[in-house]
Amino acid sequence: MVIQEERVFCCPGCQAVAQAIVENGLESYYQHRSERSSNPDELPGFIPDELKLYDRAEVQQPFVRSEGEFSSTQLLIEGITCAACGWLIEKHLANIPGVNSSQLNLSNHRLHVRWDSSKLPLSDILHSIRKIGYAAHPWHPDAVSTQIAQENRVALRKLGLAGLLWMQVMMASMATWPEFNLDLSEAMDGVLRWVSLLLTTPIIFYCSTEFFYGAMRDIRTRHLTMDVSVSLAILGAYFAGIWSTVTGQGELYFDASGMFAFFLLSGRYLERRARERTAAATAQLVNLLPASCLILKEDGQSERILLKDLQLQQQVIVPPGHLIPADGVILSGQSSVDESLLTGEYLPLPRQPGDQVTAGTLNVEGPLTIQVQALGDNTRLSAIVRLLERAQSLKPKFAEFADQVAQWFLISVLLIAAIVGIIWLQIDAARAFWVVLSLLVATCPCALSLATPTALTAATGSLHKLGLLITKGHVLETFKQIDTVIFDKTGTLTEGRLTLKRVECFPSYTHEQAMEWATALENRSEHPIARAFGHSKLIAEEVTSSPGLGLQGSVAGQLMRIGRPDYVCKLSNTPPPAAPTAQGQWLLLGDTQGPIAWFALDDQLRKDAPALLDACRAMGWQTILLSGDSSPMVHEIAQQLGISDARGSLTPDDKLKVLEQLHQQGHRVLMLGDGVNDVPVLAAADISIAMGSATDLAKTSADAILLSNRLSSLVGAFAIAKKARRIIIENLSWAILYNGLIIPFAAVGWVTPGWAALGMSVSSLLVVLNALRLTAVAEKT
Amino acid sequence: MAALYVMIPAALILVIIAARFFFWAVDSGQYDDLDSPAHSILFDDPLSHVKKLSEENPKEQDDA
Repeated sequence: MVIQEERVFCCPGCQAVAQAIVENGLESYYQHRSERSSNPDELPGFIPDELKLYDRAEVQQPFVRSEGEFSSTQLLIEGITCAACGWLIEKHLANIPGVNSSQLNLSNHRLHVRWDSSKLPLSDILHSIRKIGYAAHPWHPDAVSTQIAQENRVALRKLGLAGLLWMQVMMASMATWPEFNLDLSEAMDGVLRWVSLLLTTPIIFYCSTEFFYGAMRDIRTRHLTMDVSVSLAILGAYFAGIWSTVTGQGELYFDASGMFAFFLLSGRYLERRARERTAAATAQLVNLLPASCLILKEDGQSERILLKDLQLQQQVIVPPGHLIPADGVILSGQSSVDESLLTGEYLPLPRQPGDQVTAGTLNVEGPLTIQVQALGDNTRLSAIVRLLERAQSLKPKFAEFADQVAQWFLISVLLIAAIVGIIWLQIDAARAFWVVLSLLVATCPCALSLATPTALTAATGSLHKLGLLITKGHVLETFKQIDTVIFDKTGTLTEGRLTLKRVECFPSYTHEQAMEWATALENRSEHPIARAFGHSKLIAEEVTSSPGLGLQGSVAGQLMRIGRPDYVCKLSNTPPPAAPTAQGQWLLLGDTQGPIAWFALDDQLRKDAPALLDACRAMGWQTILLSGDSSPMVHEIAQQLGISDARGSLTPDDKLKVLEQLHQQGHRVLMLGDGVNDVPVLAAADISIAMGSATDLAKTSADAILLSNRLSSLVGAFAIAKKARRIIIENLSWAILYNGLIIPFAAVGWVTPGWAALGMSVSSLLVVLNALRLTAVAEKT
Repeated sequence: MAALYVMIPAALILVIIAARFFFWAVDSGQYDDLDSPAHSILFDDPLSHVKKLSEENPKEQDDA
């Protein structure tokens, strides 16, 4: 019972979680949550003795710090869907005696716990988090993430300091402007100039250095980019300011330097934050392999060890429902292995002694004993990861749109400045320098360089609300050029799990009866097929499973079997009937009298897949389906969705070759996929989107992640991407228009620092406001 | 105008203090997580209306 109502649960897993939550007085979680939680069944398998391993001192050593009587560590939490999850975890841990404090960072899903290690072992904490439906992994800070955190802090320091100093500079230098007519004494005027110089210097030499480095790099590679033109304006205003401070005459442009630095740093900081959100957190979690495994020692005893201690030729026991930790050959046991992540095959394949198995695949039915033949870098899984490195180098580079505009713009401004300078040298040589300077400052492409980051930040925010997380910057800008889209099948266009599609009864049995019996039997099984059947009130007794064949048990006093036809019919000694059609997987239910019903299981198409395909066609894109699956399902699905070009039985390498071919023909490709076998293509495609349920490796190599897993969000996302591009263009045109309009005034020497500052602020503000229109889109959709 | 000779140095000192303070805040990690605190204040209120309900019908609670 939750919040005064009787609730029905989809599975015992969810029920146990809800029970733990309610028992701890944390019911209000259900009121606050804004997204449904992930199903605990879908979280990686829970092994108490694996958690126990984390109590060992040598295992804890790299990630647990001791602080006096308390220990503290960071855990990476899987399964967080909304802010209420954070609340639930913190409250739940606070109720456990021995936990001193816990704090969850919602943006990177890291939980910081302090606890008393003499009273409470770490495994208990991991276990109790697991009990409320989340998986916790110890988190090791790696070089990349510490570097990113450090860079973020430095960026914020620079931005904050620039803002603080700019305002002071503004006060001091504005006082000297003739517009305000303050009637300063000469001595005071001098003091204010020196004060402004003093305050501006840190802005230039601390806050703005990244523009200068960027500019130097670009000049060396003979590119004129935004950085060059910004540096020119900032440094020009600064050095002219020094000159005017020392000589005591001329106009003061220090506040312009500060303003450029502050505005541009804000734009970059926003962009950085929008991009980093969850991306960094999920990138950490490349746990394709289990953390520990069960080895069979020579004396016949089994022992759980960490995967990194596993050695070649050792024998490993893999219980059903667990990932296979290393490449090897099966010594004993019979089972089926789910290789969908590696190959895209959607049905588990039967495996018996002597067969090869691959690290990272899932053992489905019976226990297996495996002799380890390849570990770590030598496994097939790692070979795919290596293919990924090659793929990354294939990714085409795009010149950023704004930089192209800047290049053109900068050349014109420099030319105009040179011409104006020469003309003024003829008219009034003393003013020539100041006129040219005011021209450079007034045309500093402040609005121009804010145009793209602000639009991208706003669009990234709206897309995030829709459930599409953009992790790499070029997605929105290159979206327009896409003309081909490649889909993966299993897990992308389809649900990636088996569902019951059809039931065909034999005469004298009803549909309901057959369903009841089958469900009762399947409820006692762990096989993925069992999940397709749902829940039953009937309880089957004496259920035994024969891996690869089926289940046997007694339901309602009758001995029944479900599974392969020959196995089922052995019970009644009748010849096995032929399956109704060849497609999908057919299970037979039968008792001692004969067969009862056929059940067709299939991987179902996602409901919103046709809408997505329609949207793609409406954009005029060519659609291609590439799958590793060798079954006729590939063509069936392609036909249902109207995809003309569908290819099955492809290895990751084949998929990459198809992409290379498309690139050679000059196509721009968007790839949507989820499995490890899609990873190389995701990395090499112009734009790649990984499903939210995808493997972590796929997520890290994609440019965007569809967190919501709803294909229909993509249709909305396409619209936002289109609009974002339009707004970028609008912003760029406005910025150029403003800069173009002010050039004549600057050229005749009318623009003073005051006017330049006003013009820049207004144009930058307009650009930002225009970009904010993108956030309104998300609220409408 | 003479007051400015005092005010300007005072302003400079304040700026230096503010900048030091800001740097300290950034380095101590106060800006690292800008999302969670915004949500966490909303959650600290236990189910007030549900509690009231269950106080009215204490029997129902036993069914859980």
